[in-house]
Amino acid sequence: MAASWLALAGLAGLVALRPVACTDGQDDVGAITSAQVADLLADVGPEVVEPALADFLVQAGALEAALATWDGADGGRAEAQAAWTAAMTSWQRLEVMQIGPAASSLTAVGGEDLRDEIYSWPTVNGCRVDQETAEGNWDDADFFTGNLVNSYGLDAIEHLLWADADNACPSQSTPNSDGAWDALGEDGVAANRAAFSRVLAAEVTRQGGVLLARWQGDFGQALAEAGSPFEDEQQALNAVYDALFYLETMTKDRKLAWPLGSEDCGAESCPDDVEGLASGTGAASIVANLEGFRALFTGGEGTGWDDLLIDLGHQDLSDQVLADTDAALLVARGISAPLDQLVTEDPAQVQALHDAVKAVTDVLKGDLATILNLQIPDEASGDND
Amino acid sequence: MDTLVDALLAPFLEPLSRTWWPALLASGAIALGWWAWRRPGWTLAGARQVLTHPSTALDVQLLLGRQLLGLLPWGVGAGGAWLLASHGVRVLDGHLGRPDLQAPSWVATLATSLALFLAWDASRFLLHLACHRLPVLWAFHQVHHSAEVLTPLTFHRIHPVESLLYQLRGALVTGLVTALCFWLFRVQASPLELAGVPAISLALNLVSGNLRHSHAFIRFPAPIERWLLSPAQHQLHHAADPVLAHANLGTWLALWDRLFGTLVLSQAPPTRFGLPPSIRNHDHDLLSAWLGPLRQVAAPLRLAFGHLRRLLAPTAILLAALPARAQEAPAEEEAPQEEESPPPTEEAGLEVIVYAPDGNPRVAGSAHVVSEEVLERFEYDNIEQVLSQVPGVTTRSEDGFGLRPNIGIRGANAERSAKITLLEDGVLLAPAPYAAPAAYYFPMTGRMVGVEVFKGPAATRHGPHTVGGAVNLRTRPIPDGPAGEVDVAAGRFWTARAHAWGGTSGEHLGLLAEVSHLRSAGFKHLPGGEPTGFDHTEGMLKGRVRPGWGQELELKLGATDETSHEDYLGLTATDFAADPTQRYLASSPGLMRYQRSQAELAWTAKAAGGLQVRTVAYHHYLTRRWFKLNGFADGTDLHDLIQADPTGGTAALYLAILRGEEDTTTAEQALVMGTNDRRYHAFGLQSLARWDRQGDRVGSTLELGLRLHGDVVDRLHDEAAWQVQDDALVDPGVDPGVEPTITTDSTETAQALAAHVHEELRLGMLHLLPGARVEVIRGTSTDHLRAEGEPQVDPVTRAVLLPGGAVLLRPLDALDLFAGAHRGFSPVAPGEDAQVQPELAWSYEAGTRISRPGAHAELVGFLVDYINLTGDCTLSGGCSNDDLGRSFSGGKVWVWGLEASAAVEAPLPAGLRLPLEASYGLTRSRFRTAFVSDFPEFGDVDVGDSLPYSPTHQAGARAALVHDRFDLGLGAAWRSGMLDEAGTYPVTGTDVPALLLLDAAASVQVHKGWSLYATGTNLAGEQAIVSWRPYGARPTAPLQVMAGVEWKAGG
Repeated sequence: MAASWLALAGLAGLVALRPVACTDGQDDVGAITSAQVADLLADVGPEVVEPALADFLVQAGALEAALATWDGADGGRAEAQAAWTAAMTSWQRLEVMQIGPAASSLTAVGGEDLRDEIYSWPTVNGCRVDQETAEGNWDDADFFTGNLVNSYGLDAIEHLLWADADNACPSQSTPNSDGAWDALGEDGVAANRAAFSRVLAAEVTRQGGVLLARWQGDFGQALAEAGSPFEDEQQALNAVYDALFYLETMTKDRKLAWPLGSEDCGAESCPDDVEGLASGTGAASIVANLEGFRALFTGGEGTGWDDLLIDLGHQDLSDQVLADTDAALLVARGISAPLDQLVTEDPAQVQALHDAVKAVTDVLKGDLATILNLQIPDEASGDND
Repeated sequence: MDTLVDALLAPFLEPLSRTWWPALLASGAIALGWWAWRRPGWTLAGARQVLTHPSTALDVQLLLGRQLLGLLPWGVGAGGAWLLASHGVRVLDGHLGRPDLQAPSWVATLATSLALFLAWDASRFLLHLACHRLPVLWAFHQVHHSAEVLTPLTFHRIHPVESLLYQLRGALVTGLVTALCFWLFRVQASPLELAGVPAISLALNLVSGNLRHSHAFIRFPAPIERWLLSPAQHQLHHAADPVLAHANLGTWLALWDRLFGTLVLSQAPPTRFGLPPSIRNHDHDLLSAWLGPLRQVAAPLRLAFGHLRRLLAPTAILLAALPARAQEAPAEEEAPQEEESPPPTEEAGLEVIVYAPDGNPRVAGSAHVVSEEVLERFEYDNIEQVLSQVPGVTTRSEDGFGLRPNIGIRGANAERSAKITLLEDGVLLAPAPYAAPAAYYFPMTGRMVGVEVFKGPAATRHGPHTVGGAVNLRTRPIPDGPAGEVDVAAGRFWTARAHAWGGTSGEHLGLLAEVSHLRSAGFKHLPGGEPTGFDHTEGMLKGRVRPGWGQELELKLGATDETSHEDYLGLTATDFAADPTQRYLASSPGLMRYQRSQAELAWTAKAAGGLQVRTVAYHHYLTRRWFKLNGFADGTDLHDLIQADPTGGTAALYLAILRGEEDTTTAEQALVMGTNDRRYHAFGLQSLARWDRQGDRVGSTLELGLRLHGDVVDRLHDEAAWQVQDDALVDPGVDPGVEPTITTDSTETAQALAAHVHEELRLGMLHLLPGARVEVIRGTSTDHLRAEGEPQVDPVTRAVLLPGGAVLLRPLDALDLFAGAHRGFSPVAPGEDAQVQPELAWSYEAGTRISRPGAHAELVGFLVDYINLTGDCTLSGGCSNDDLGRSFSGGKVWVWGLEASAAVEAPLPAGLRLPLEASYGLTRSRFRTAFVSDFPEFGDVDVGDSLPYSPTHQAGARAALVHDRFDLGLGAAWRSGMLDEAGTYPVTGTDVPALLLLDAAASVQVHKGWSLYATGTNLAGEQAIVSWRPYGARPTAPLQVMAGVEWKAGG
């Protein structure tokens, strides 16, 4: 009997002195019990979003440089358009990473609408851009705070770079109704467009920098530690999951299904509602969306959803998502004509891309949602436990 | 070090544990009770013997050892179960698809709870059976059976290997069953839990768990022992008798023992427990208990190994034993849901509306009357002002004039007054109270001569909404002699009122005609100067015949016409602060028109012996067309958008479109406007019989009521997309002339039979008032937009019994003490699935009243225990068209509070009177379950959240100075802040702040029959936010001053 008590004491000592790491490190994230969740959250910023933002800032800088040599008409237009396309492609990867400050303030935790400040499609308005071009107030200190998002951003620059000599406004609106456009004349319009575009590009770069600073600073830390505005790790993980959902609601439904007419766009098909109508970059944007999705899913060089799924025992799911994503990328990269043209002439090709993206989002909505939501009830202790 | 202590104390502190301290206490109490009843001959010495027995010492050692081992990284737990479940769901989804059961959450919870309980119990039985039948397992299970005395700690007397097997079993079963339940019910698949533990197991653990390992031989009657194992039966399982030791293997259900023939009913307690030394493989100490079974199991292996080694001597055989490393047992998780057991119910009775000579109701329950004098003094046109002085009643303002009253009583959702019973002269007033409870109509308050509010039990005499209460408006009765009145007044904002009535009656005939008109240009303004006001006209005709023999026949005819330029769109907080009376451009087309006609024929008969019967046949018809903004084409939530008050992003652009500052450029941004065209019929026959008898010592009033009612609502809603261009709205119907799309075309009907019986038995100072109400409601719903051949929703018939009762004690003539309880209910609108639950609650009330000439005071405390609180989706609450009329469950909610009122009239010299009134209401509420709801006012609800639009404090006071020639009045009403959505206090910027409103009235008689008067409402000019619903902040009506002339004759 005494030996037994001694043995118990010894065991107690052993247990008390055991290294903490042996048994800690299993996080409870509501349903998911995995150490990987904390790593995933910590890696989203430095491994995925920040590199993408850094690349975007480089492209935005190149865009600024190209616009500096654009005369507002055909001189240097091709170079500026190419720089814009590169910047847009880079940004489209970030479209799938709307977490925290970049996301919508109405629907996301910690959302501050910063994405809209850089690019606000489909909330675009060519006429508003032309009105601002004619008014020439872009140097005012409150230009960006006093105007709405459809008059600035990458979408506004697109309009300036691809527009012809006319403006996009009806005759009864300014700058037609007050003759301001005509008064400027072709040369005046070109000069204004050039000057305006430079200011817009500088603001895009600035806002990109703001967003990067948030990720490198307070928000990045909040996400990594699941601190305010997140209540717990589950909510933070859900925020990342919701960002991935861009592929479903925007890429698949708005950019593909809507122009095809499968979503109720008001007519049999709506080719003019594609993204990047003027620049013909619709397909390239979708490629970039898929690339961004893949980056966020894999966590870049760090821990991502693939690692989490493997740790949870669902490697096959992770492999399936990656395979489907790669397949969709293959289809998307094979598209060579502008999307609006394809919707009219060869809708089957667009439908094929839509279906390829749907394969990815179905898993997102299905099995991945199951894994996020499944909870195991505790069994009360019974005899012999 | 903390973890060590936590682990050692866990068996007593964890709710999951059998020996959780409340379970130990409960078992102790039960054992004590059993001992007191049975006197089994226990002694203190005997008890000491049990506690100091070496067997008990081993129990403790095994408990400590297991807890310490549990801190090392081995063992299987929820990690394994989760893995199994997640794969299980994926396999099921993949092979069988996802079933779309749409089961109500209670079905999912019940099914999951039962499935888990049965699976756990059955699997425990099977493993236990294996432990007794398979020698290798019996070697380890012996450790538990070697106990020679039984205490609750014997529960923990188990070998670690056996513990591991049970954990594996648990993971397997939990994983498989959870997979199946999740596949069927998705996120609703969770068992009913108490304190984070599945409820069934917890209850059983609490009540009988620890008694299984005790010497209290508590038996159940044999028929029960065939289904549920008693503590005695488990003690038999621990008997030293080898036959008994392999019987009663189950944990809770006796079913499995019956199937396998191992069930033994209890008769006499065993004489000895434990195992004979010949069988036992260990001594009474920890090391022996752990190693003994291992040695026994290893013996044959050692023998075989010895042979093998001899055979293969030259070759070294290395056996690497790798202990299975599975995931650690999970840390205890806090359950997200908590439930507390409801308070005990009481049977009591209803009350009868009896008026004391001073005009105040003397009822066994809370009732409040706003008299004609008060209504006339303040010339109230707005029912919200009238009700602000009634404790327990909350109103949510919408248009500022009281045209769209949202009245709630005692926490019942105020939305469109859908949860209270509205009556005019005792007849249902709402356009279709059963088929469309949220359809509102309110007559002109200005022509009413009395407003009665019945809370709690009083409402059960009327129905259909019997949880919160009822409001009864009394129209002007036919005057006894020739009498009439004309009253004309005008005020700010081009507000004007004209009211006239005249009537007379003779011996047999009586007649009254009344007309009233109210109009205003409105206090809000639109950017283009479009109208924002209303005009409302009402007429009533009453005719009465009294042929004699106590009979009376009265016909009431009424007609109403209203046009108002109202819309659902409110303002952002910033815009509200800048100018609270502005309206956005997008709200400018808002226009509502309705017409109503009413016909009622009432026959009253009085017979000898105290019997009265009043029968009313009624028919009401109301048509209503309201054209207004529904929202954006892409479904952006207007309430959330406006409450967020965005300054950046796409959201700010949408706001600019609403203001008309930004053009719409894409299909998503179009403003959807539409007409809701509705027709309502309500008709029925109701009869009330009352029989009064009064003896020397006993009195009785028996009331029987019966009502046959039918109502119909036809809805035809359409909508079209409008654009904003150049600061103006563009109507698509004009050019190119697009036809609006029809979004709703449906007919809902309801037929209801309601009966109530109520008795007041007066035994001296004690009155007993039992009563009951029964409602049988049949609802149908027809969707005319469904294609031919597509089936319609089946008609649903529901019946409900609502018992209730009250007790009244009148120890002194002026003092009443009363208490009552009743079951209340609010029906489900037609078109809902048969499984949708109506709103149900038990209400309790207790109070006291002092009533004597010149003074009246009342204090009532109440508790409404909602078994199921519901929110009905209306567009005005911010719901979408798709969810219109749907009932959303809020689950269990408690609403409790106090209502106090006092009125005194001090007589002064010189013929002056000084009536003073004050009231105070306290209402607290608490959601008792956590859930996420699509009903906008609930949203994300946590346990402990309070109800929205239900202020904690409400207080009011009125004072008047009355003389034959003049009348001066002053009133104040204050309420504390209200939450816009279910949540916790204090209120924030997106909630509704506290509000104080001051009114005054003065009238002077200048000549016989002629008086001049003036009224002021909101004297302080408060412009606070009174509601965020439907879509944005809405203001109180600003300071309003009316001045008028009144002429009265006769009366």
